[in-house]
Amino acid sequence: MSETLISSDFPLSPAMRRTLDTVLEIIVPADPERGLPSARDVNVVAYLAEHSAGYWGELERQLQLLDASARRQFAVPFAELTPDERMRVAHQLRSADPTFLRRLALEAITCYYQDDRVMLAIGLEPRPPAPKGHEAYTGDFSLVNPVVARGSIWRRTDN
Amino acid sequence: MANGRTGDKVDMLIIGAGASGAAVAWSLAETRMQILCIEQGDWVNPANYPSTGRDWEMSNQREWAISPNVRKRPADYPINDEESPIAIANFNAVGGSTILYSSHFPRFHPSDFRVRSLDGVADDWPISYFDLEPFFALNDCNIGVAGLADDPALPAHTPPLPPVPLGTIGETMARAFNELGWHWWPSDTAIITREYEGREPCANIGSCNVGCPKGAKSSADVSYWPVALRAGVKLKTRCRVREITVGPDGMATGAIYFDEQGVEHHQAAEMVIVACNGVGTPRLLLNSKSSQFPDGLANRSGLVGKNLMLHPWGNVQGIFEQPLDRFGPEGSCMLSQQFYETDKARGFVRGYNMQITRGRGPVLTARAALWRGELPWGTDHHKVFERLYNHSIYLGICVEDLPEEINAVTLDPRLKDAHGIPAPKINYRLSENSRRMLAHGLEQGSHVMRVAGAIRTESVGPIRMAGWHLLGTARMGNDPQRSVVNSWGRSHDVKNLFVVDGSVFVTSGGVNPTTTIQAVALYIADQIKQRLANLFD
Repeated sequence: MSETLISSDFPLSPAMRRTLDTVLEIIVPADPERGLPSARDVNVVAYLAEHSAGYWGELERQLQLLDASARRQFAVPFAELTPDERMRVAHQLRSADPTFLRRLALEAITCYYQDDRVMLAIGLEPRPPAPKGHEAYTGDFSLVNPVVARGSIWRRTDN
Repeated sequence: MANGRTGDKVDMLIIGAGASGAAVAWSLAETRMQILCIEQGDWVNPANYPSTGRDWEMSNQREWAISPNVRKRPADYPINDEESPIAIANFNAVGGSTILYSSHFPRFHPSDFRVRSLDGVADDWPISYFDLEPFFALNDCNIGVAGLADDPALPAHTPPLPPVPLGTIGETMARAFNELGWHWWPSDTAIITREYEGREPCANIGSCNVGCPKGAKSSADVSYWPVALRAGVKLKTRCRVREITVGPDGMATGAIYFDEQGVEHHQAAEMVIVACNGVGTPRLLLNSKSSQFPDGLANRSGLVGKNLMLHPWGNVQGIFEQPLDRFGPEGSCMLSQQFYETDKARGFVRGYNMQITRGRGPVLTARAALWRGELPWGTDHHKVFERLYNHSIYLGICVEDLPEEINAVTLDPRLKDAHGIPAPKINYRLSENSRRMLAHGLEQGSHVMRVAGAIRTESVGPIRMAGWHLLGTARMGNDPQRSVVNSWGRSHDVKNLFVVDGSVFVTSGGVNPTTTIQAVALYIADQIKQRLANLFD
């Protein structure tokens, strides 16, 4: 994954960036008890830049919809709502259109579950699976004994 | 005619370096003839496999996708599969689709070769399980198959290596199968579980379906090819064959291909062996038109491309209260063949295999749950994720697909690859027999999951992105009117042209076909060696 984008390359305005950060926090909030950060705390923007560069336009339009809805109902931008109000506004828009911000949510959790802190918190070493691999539990192969005891089951043919 | 220089004539030209081309090359190398294999893909560098990076779980939706239409690598050709509920999967490289296969390696059963005699459907093969038995064993040894001896669902055989781990997933399902009195067995698996022929054993990386960076999975590039090359076989990569050429006597004279710079060449050969799989082979034969073969090479029967079989696939996910381990070979753990043989009381003929696979990694667990609306936004996200991750077992249903001429590979009238060669078009639909079988499999799969303790099950099938097994489109048989090649792979129409891949299958069996494809390829190679003195008579 790339490092943080150079700020001058960032495709969203500061206001839209605040809206994005806020919505990432409600997609996956932090959970201190589990040692888990929020999706805002992992580098979703860089992940989007690397894998979904063509998505910025659609994302910006959807973030603007969130803001517009917040202003209409509460007279403030989305980022200034209370957590309950944010969830309510997002829920209204997602209920009207199930695809609303779905791509952002998918990309956000894809990035999220690759983050060191998240991997550690869910019991994984923070690394790719190769080359080290994993210890695997072999299991009890004597469980086949009843299958063996029932004998051969293949269908006989003439040859 | 080709623009480039004509290469030195070779004795044997093999087209395709995948599972069957590699096995045939290895076997024929002992003839000391000049053997050249042409492959449109390249060698894959194990260091480039995605499991060496964090984003590996997503790679199967990008450059390591099983669909060439998604992957769109330079080596790929497009496939029009819009008129099929099952999309075509393949991989174009040295090793072919074995680069991405799960290495679940069950053999066909004796009954699979006698479906007309036993069940009154389709056709019997002109060869039997027992003709292939020594070649199954040879293949097991050549690539290093892991498994447990003497599965009661098959004639006795002993894999050379100990089985892959069952894990808690396997144990959980084994107890359920035992409670029901159903067959189950640790899967034969094309993975090295101990050091074998200089290759290191599996480290349970768990990313088999996007390539094994350790080389423990016996894809053909790490198993057959190194030995075949040492024995003198030549391999040209990044060369795409446009057509097989024929002389005035109706015999194959070689092939025209594009090299990696796009320059056309003609490679002359005494004999041509086609090993391009069940879609690539009919595509090549249908593209090889001439005045003698106006409907495509070796197609006087009109059956090239017809009788495509794809193995409709279903999946049952069981979600469990207790945590389960998921480390081990991704797609291979154990199988059940309780419903493999015909029981007409079930409402269909023939049967299916149940393949137990391990759970998904965190990214795919979360994405799948979010996609189906199960993983919420907000504070409950973590609680729901915990209930799903490392709490799932998957059971695949592999349905025997019977041959029907309306299921076919043809040439698309408009779609072409990067070299302007017409692309294949797939017309396919599931038969009523397949639908019933799949429904039965999903129901029984859900049942055994519940017996195993699943608190919830999710069933889906047929799965669209599951056309891994490409079979039947140049079928073998003794009757030239009803088959494309004879019982040892030689074209009825062109006596120095052979087909050795899954195209020659008369029926599909109900299991993953690679070990049977390689056994058939080794059998045909053996027949060629035995008949060298009068091979073209």
